[in-house]
Amino acid sequence: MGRYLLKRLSQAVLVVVSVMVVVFVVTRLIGDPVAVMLPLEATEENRAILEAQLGLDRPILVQLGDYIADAVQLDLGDSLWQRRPAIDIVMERLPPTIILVAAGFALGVLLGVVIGVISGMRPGGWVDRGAVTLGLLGVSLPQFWIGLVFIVFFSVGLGWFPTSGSGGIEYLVLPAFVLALPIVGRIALVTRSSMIDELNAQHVKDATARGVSRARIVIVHAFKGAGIATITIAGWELIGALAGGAVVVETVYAWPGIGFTAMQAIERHDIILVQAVVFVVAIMVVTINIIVDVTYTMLDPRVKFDRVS
Amino acid sequence: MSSVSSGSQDNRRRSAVWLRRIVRDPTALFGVLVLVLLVSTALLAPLIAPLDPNKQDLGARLLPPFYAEGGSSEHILGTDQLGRDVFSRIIHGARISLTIPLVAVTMAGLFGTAVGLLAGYRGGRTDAVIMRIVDTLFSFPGLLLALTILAVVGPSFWTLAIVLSLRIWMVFARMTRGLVLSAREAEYVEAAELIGASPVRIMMRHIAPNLTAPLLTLAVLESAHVILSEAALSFLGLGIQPPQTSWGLDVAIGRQYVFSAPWLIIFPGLAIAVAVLGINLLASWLRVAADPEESAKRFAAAADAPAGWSG
Repeated sequence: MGRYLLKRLSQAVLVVVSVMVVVFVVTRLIGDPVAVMLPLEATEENRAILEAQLGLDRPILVQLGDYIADAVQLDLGDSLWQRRPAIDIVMERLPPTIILVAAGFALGVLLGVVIGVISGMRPGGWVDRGAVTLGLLGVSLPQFWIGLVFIVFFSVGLGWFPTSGSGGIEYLVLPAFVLALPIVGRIALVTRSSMIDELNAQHVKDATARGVSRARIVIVHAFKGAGIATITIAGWELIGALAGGAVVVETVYAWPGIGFTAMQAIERHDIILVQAVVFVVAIMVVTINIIVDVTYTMLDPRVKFDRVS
Repeated sequence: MSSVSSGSQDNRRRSAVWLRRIVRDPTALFGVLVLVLLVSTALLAPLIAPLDPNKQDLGARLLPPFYAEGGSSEHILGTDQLGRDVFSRIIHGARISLTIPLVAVTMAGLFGTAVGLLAGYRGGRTDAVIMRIVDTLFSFPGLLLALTILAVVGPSFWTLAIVLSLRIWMVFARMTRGLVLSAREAEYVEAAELIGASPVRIMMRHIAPNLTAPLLTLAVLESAHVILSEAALSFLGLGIQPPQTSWGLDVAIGRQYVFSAPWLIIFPGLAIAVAVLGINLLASWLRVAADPEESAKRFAAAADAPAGWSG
């Protein structure tokens, strides 16, 4: 277990470093950071000053080395927009994102599992058909659109929730629900499919023959097997919500998290701040990956620690 | 398939069987109809669209759709803040929603399949290195990284297509590798190797046929993802740029008028939803239909269920 974790940890570091190298290469080599940051009417002199300020006049490999060394010490530079350490801004904006993603993810997994289990119990019935349609809708509706449609109906039309911003729990309902939609869809579809497989498996048929109650069979025997597939997908969904869904949903609802911050930073050409958001999200993504892998390994007796890589 | 003519006859019969299976299944039929509608709308956009999608008419700003008070049949889905016809813009928007996934999925599919073939067939060290890279890329913070790259490089049709294909090629690589590995274990492949068939021949003749159906299904599924990603990126202002039209871009424009002119977001978004739903339905049907094992399993499950568990 210890060796396994160490190995996974070193892989995680590799992932974060490669994400940062990709961002570095794109921003410094393909893009022109100075041109992006400065207004169009900037003079050559302005350019030179900013380049020196950012250390862009040094050899590229020296820059890369410094950049990695600084990132390791959590020094990602000062935000050009707010003129203070970018990492501080990201850390301030992180709690709202965590609240939103946690709420959306919990809601999504809960609804998805319930819908998936119920529909998998009787494949082909009308409940199942309805559930599958619901699942497909969840993965097909664009989140930014459904978010705006909810604002039109529930905030403007019915006046149940505020249109955007943050405050009490009433501000969280719509964004969390929109973030949950694709999660509900995919988890329901995957859980349903593995429930069907499990309910047809020999060990479940044996249990039925032994007279085990239907409820016990569904929950204990079938869902235990189906749960492994669900956890893997749930991990992917959590990552998707954090690195994608949250950006869109926070932008639609002006939710003051890191996704909204990233969009504000992009609008203000603040590459340093965008980079800091990417860095923090990358760390969270690899952490989630490790947690999912470990959970998966503990649940599935067939998978041995040393064999997972 | 001893001669060319019997081969083409065989093909014709097979497509007739597929056609019948599609017509019989309402979900597949819906998917195919949506796809046909999308393709023909995109191809014939200038002919179908009643008006020029970029023609501004400041005298006819923010007109509501035909069903609402003040709406007219001239602009059946209303007009935007510059007096442009919403219906015509949606029709033209189909072009981007079709070409972006076509270009991105083709690039990603070709590259990913080539990489997957190499990994699966070479095995050993090549495989280990390639799959490590693929695993690493899978852990990248997808949309956020795409946003960052587009913000720096500058959004355009091609940068968008390239960034979107960079996000998905690994899926094709991983699937191809898995399929190659399992096909290589098959006895007929071992037999071909034993009698000294060349690697290229084994690859083309014995392994490739196993890849077509699953990879095409994956391509259909990934197109749906790409449409959603394009729409989201365009909505965020980092995708398609005016004067080109895109459904996601139109929703972004309409967002400022969400209180006074909700039709500006409702209809373009609906177009995205219908297109993606249709393609997803087609993909999920294809997955079951193209895989005899999956097909049998579903059928058995459906047949079994009421008898065993009706209590």
